Amino acid sequence: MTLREDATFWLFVGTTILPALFAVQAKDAMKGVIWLSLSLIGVAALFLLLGSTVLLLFQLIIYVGAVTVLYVWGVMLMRTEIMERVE
Amino acid sequence: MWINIGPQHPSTHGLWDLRIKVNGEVIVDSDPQVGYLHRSVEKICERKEFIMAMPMTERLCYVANMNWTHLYVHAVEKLMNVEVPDRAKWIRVMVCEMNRVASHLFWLGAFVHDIGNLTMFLWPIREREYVLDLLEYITGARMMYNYPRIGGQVKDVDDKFLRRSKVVMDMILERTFEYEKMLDESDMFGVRTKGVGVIDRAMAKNAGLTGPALRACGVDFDVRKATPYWAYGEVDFEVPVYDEGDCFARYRVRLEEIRESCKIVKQCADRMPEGEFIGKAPRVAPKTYAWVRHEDPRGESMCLIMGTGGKNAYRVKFRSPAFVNISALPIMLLGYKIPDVPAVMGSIDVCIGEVDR
Amino acid sequence: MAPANPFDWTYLELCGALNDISYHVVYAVGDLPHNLWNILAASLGMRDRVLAPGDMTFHIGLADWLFVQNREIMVSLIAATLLLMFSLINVLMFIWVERKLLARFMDRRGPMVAGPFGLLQNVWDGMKLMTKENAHPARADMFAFFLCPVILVGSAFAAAGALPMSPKVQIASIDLDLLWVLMLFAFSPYAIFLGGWASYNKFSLIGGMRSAAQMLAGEVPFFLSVGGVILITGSFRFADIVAWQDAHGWLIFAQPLGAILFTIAVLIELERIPFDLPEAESELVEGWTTEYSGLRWGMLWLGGYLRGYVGCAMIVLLFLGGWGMPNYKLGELPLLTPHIIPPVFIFLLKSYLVFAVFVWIRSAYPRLRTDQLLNTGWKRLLPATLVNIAVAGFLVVDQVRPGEVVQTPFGPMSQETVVAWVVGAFTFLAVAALYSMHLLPRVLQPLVSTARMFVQTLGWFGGRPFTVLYPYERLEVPLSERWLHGLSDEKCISCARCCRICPDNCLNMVESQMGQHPDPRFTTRPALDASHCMFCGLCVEVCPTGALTMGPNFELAGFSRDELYWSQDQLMGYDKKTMQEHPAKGEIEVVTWVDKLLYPLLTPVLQFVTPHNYERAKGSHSDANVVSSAVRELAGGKEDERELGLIMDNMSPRSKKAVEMLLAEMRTRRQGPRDVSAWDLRHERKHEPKGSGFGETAPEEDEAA
Repeated sequence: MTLREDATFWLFVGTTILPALFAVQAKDAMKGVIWLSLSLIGVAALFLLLGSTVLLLFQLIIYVGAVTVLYVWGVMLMRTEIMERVE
Repeated sequence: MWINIGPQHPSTHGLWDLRIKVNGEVIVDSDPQVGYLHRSVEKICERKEFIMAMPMTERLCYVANMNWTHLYVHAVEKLMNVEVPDRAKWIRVMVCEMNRVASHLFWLGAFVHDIGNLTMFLWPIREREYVLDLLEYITGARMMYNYPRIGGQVKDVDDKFLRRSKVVMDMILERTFEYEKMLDESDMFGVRTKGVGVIDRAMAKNAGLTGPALRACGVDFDVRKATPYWAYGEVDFEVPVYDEGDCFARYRVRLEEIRESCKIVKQCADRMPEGEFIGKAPRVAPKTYAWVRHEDPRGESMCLIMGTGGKNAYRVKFRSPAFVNISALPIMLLGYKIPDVPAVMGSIDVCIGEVDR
Repeated sequence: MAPANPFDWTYLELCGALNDISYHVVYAVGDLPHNLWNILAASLGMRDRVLAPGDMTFHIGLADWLFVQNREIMVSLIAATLLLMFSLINVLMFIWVERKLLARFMDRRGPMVAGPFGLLQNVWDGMKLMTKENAHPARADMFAFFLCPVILVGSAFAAAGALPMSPKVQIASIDLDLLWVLMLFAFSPYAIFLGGWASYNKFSLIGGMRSAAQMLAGEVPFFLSVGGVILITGSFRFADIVAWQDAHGWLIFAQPLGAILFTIAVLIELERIPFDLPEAESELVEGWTTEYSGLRWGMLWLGGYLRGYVGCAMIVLLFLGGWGMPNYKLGELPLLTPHIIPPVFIFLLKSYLVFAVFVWIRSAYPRLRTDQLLNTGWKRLLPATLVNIAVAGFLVVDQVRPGEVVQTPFGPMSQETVVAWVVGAFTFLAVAALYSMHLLPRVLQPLVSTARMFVQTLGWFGGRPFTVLYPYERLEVPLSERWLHGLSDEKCISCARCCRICPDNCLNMVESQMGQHPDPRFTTRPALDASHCMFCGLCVEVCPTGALTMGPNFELAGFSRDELYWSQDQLMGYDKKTMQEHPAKGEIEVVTWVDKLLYPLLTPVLQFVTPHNYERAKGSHSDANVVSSAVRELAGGKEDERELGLIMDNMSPRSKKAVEMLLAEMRTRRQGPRDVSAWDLRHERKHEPKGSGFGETAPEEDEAA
């Protein structure tokens, strides 16, 4: 593994794990969702490194594009504190 | 959750605050707040002489100011028992109907713009420009005409005006069919306005709704037919009435009113009698009161004037149709969704100048 | 001499490679973009003379390190820069097309002033946005607030990079091109949600939620409507799809339903009318973008139009044959061959035409409510896409034998073509059935109406837009227009009726300094406070001698309150005060560092490029007054133009033109300065002695109060 490949791999691993750590300690649920989406992008990058563009694309479409939005909706509907925060 | 639509809002057609209580997207209550544009016009009219108060009444409803100034002058003439010559009466009918056309065209543009159709905003505005040019020709101003005087009009109309007005009204009549093609036949407009903002006959009458909104609920009441004033008894026109009571019916009523008003103007241009355009008027008013009612583009407007024997009025009271129509708005909005608000608000044609006076 | 192995090149040899450009310039005329790339490559010493991996040299110059060993980085940077420039220019042109075309549908003209045909209008608007503050709500979540435009614009650029414009012009291409672009569109609901939530504003939140819901409802038809295309062509790659279309005919004929559904899905994704409720002005001000201002908001717009370009380009690539033109021949003469017009140009032309259709749709229809839109998306579009895939799949999957040639009445065609055309025929019959049931004409009627208006405003058949290009074209204003006042010294008898009648108490009688009236009884004249004036005309009506008039000069704006107080000498024309120039004419107020940087650089250039730098209204009050005096003098019998000519010499060109218009009209009408007013007829007080007229007795004070 050349330096380039190593560096890229560890960079993507960091992109996956670090936002996940931020996500679990976030006090605000919306912040947690944002960090989660970054982490999922890291996972997609790891798929790319493993050689599969198909999985990269589907991971991004489904997880970041749809599942994250569903999480945000869930947070909105369940936590009325947000609406009160805005009001 | 209470939401404020206004007082600063692009689609409220004036300065008022429509507070609605929503449950998710559905409206469960509403509370219109008016008064942001109150200028104490009625109080000012007490301090000025009758003719000096005329420019104040113009600014009540700035879109339909011929109708409001003529309402005021009619009340003063009734108070002073002034005889108005025939030609002046026919000029008044002609000019008020032209202003009704302009007001309805402006309403159409604003209403359709709120629903999203950008092109249909500019086409009626363009037609209105022709009408405004005509009125500019005889009065000297595009919007604040200051045209009637006690006993008649300030200036006479000439043949060029009569000829041009026929041409312009013919053109507007044709263009209303073009508007129908753009709006009626398109399902998207129907989907936004049919069945939206429904009010039934009984509730409408109870709330005091008048004008096109009432005629869209199936009540055939028009002041021009019920108690004709000036030359309305001699002019041939129909009053459109629809039954559904929704936004689409109100739109249809106003569109057909534009056509009827075009016909009235053409008849006036053809049958304009010769003679004086102003009669004699006394300087002071007797110590009594007078009350008149007119058909404003927005509904039934009334004016009560009490004189004291001097040059000023003691009390001038205007009944503004839009003010009362707004009180029917909560009934129309109940149970509908937030995106329906601009459609309903637009369809009852508020002009805040006359609401707040 | 340069070493044969480019790895040995140093910077010196790199410069030597620049000499090769002349050769490439001559060769480049044929296929410009591709050869531009060649020129660039040649100038950087990166031509296809090969870089064998593994070769090393002893001395490695900067050129070597940059352009040889880290070649991928340089290529990527150059490609990214080119993409950025091209996309930005494309977006500006798209916005220009939208504004002009939408205006013509509405019977007006669109941007006319900045640059020829208004082409630079968007540059000006971008500059304006750059100088505005990027305000944000105090309690907004800055991370998400910042992230939203970044995601939107970034995804748009990435999608634009994947679109090929010709077989040779392509920035990036992977096996799953189509899916890449669809994925980037899938980021937008998330970004919009973030933006709406981060704004800390109830309305933005609602707008953001609605917008996200709308986009999700549009995503699924978006993905599925290309299912038929993928099945028929057998590939996700744009280049392959276009190649299929070159060989077998455009897919819009083979997949009409798919094309219509994809167009509708793209309109939903782009939030254009009829689906723009989340951004509708009449609803929640600006929807989720309410709190964005300055260049951040400009970026959102840019991202929006860039996504519009990507959507249009996808429609062109997938359904309209990409860069291909049909190879029609008339006998031996080529009518429309793909070799005359460069494919990039054809591709861009088609994209712009598709976008013009989007603008046409925008001009003709109102917007749908969100729930109606969601109904449409889930209940009508989705089943239609599934039906589309099912039909295409049924016909394709069972019979796919690639390359097999089938004899048809139209000649030998390949299997795929037959399938495609059969699918298209079914769909066409369905559409014809709908049309004959009078369903489609109702939906399409507004398009016909707006198209008719567009043709009318072009002026081909005698029409023109209704708008008047003020101040280059002037409006014809009737003589009776009530605007600027004028006062005649000889006629005024200081009766003060005008002061009494004014509803706003604007006029007051002042001792005239420059007046030339010999009679000492009549030396006071009215002065007008125009800031209160309603221009009601009562003062003119009441004047018994016709001294006070109102003329048709309506250009009365000034820059300070003092200018709106017209003294009696000004009204009479003796005191020729001119209107002030704008204090900052020629200079723009410089506040922030952006202004300090941009305006010195750009203003000289832009002022030069923008024509019609019209002068500010330099006409003075007395100019306009002179117009009224000229009118009055003409009516008084003075038709001598030479006398008027003296007055006209030091007038501004606009006032001169006004006087000429008035003279012409007056000569045809032969009227006096004012009509006999109602006041005179009613009260018959033309020649009464002083002391009995209105305003000359003490008014009965507050009797009615």
